[in-house]
Amino acid sequence: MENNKKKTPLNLRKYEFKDFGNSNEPGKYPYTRGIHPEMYKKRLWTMRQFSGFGSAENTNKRFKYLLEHGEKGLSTAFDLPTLLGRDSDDKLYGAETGLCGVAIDTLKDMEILFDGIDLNPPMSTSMTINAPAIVLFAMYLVLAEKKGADWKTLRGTIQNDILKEYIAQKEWIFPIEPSMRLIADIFEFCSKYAPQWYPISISGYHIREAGSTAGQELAFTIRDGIEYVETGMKRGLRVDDFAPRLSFFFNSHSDFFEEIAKFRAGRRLWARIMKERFKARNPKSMQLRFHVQTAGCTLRAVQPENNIIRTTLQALAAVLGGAQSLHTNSYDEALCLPTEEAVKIALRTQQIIAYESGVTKAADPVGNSRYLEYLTDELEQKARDYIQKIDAMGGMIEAIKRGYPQKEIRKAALDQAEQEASGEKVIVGVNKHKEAEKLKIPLLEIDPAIQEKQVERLNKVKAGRDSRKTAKSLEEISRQAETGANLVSPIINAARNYATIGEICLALEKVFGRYEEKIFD
Amino acid sequence: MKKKIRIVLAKAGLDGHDRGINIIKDSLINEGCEVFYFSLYRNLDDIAEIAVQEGADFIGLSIHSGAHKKYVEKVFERLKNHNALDIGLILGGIIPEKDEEFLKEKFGVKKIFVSGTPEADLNAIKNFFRENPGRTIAAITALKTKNDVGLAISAISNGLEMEKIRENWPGTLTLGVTGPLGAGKSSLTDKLIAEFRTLDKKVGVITVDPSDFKTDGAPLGRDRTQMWRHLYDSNVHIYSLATRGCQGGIAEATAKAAEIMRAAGYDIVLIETIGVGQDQTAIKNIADKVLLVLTPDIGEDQIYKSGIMQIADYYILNKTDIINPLKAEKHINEMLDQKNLNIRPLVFKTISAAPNNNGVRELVKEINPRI
Repeated sequence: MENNKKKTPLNLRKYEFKDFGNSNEPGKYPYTRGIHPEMYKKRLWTMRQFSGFGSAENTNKRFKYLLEHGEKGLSTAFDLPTLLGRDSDDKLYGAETGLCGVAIDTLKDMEILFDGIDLNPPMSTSMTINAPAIVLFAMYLVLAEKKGADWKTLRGTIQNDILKEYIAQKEWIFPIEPSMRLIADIFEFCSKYAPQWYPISISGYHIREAGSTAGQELAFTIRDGIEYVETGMKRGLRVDDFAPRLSFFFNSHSDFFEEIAKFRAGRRLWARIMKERFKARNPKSMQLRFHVQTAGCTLRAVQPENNIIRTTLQALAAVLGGAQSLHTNSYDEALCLPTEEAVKIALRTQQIIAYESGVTKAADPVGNSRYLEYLTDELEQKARDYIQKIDAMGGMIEAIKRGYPQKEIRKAALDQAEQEASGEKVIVGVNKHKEAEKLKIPLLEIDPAIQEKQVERLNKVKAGRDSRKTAKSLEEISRQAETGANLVSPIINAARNYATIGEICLALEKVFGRYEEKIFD
Repeated sequence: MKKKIRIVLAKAGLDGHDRGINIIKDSLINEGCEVFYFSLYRNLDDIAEIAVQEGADFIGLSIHSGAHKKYVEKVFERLKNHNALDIGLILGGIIPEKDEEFLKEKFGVKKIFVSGTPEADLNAIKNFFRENPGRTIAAITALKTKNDVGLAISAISNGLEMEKIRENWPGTLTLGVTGPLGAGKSSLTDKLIAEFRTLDKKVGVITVDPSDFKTDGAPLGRDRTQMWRHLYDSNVHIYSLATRGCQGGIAEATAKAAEIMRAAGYDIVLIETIGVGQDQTAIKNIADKVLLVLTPDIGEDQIYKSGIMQIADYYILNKTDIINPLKAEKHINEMLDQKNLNIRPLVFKTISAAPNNNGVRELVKEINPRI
């Protein structure tokens, strides 16, 4: 395993940048210093706060609140039953309805969720959905159609990154191979019918949250990216036809310079892989575009106001690292989903960085610092080493089956927990400068009747739909799943007929089966 | 003998945040505990049921979803039904302060570790288990319920003295299921349980897994994941033993555990050993009959070797769907011909991973009249 304790050369003056010559120009290959020559001087990042709780009405209200306060794009957090393709009346898990995000059962809920919001550009909507991404995407497309927004210009992202689910986030439904096929279906569909949509957001965020190091986050995410490019090409797509629409999603953790370096190393690494390994020609295929979220796992339940400072530093690292969009965590998130007040402070944090701090005046303003360039080189090398190992195993799917990335992350997580317990790694308020008195902050309460209300609506939708038509469209999904045809259209059809997410996922499961995680001692 | 803590860990519901639980699992094993963890999305009824059968000291639930009240209640109710509320219920994750008292009072939660607080760092958690060794009993007084049996086996493996209850148990049979790593012992045991159940036999199962040689802790429960379908069968009890330094392929307490199972009325006791090497033959001393499970790719030379190859009453060639067994069968029969034994061991061919019980059914038919 990679050693957590960093070995920094004592005398950086002697450090020779490996890529100094190549990396000197922002906006030029290999884009170490940014994908645009002027970066934020020309266009700020998109301030995009991930939000969702309770019912579609609750979340719609939160969306509008954020837009009123200057947010530029929406980002939807779904509840756990939705993330796992289950309905709100699920016997085993229905009790989790609306607790960790917004509950969506049918198109009806989507209509309420985006009520009064124009889906035409410049609006862009991000949906954090993976295993059943195809279902929520289909619902969104039908919704857009109903609201008169053209698919051709529709902007947004679905996370749709199933590999990191098996590696870190652990919210899967189907086995790996059919899940990858659903992703290829979406790539293919988007390249034809929704060319402005980002069909995937290849995510390191969750890998880091699960306890990885920065190097592992970078390595496994980029290697996942390679797997997706291969998947698209196997489907018969030309690399330059879909690679420009691949986007990434990273964590911004607490080691300030290491994080900036990680973003820079990621850009350089991806550009080279796309050019050398996949022979991409379109510069857009080589440009790593990414969203950042500050690190949820660094937030602490004690002295929660300190989390504002943590988030500020992490957000600054993301901006200095050249992110295209950013979510800043709220200070109360170690305790609950954020309150309106808390999320406003988080958004204001971004606005202060953007409009007051002056860091947007130059592209890659900290580039060419010896320490930063050293870290950038080092992280690129670490990632390359891992990528080579995973290539040797036969690719990421094989590596996941062997539990390789999972075990590497687990070791790193244990290592960090031990360092925190011993005090070797200082966490202010937790293992140093502790206070006996716990500070009280207001917490968000989820309506305890949320499940009841949601089930009531679900039953109403079911009673009001043409059940014969719905059943037929569900059968069609199972049938097409067996033939290997592209599944986006049949699922759009089922969504249009108000089939539930649970019904659609079941129709797929009948053919695909379920994923079972091997237990790795 | 120092008491070993046995703890069943679980994530509740759909919550996939398993960073914490994996850290706890790894560090408790390093502390020398025996830890069960069955990955995500397990039904908590199952978790409580397993804790009872395994004579566990603690159930540790990790919950970040906000649904803690519902899930804790589920575990509490099942423990209550088993009269096993002395199993310590521990919570970790995001639990609001206002719920802590409620959970402790209403459901007897013993300890709550809230993420991101100094009270929940790894040392605090380790210290808790150093100071709270869990359940003990002074003597085995009853073996009527699964809770009694689980607790009794845990107690004797922690050194509680137990007199031999009886010399022999007419009508019962103790079968050893042994063989090298990966031969399919657990899936075969699952099928044996199913077959004996169709004959209306009560089946006790003891599966043995190795303890870590450095820390003497152990990850347990892998074997029983293959036998999950029997969890709620009132006539099946599965208990997992760790070797705790014992060298012969079983744990020191194995014989006594089998004795307890027989005393509790189980007609058939299946003992699944660890994946054994050539000299790990201790099962021979405690089982009435030994089933040696092999894959058919075993070489002719191996069959004639001393040790494990010579203790079988039944040679089971498993995974015959993947590897043609004819050669191995022929070689084993030749070996047995040469030995000219009074009771000649039999050779069976099975596919323990198949949906049907072919092969296993014939095997059980053969064994059953001997009870």
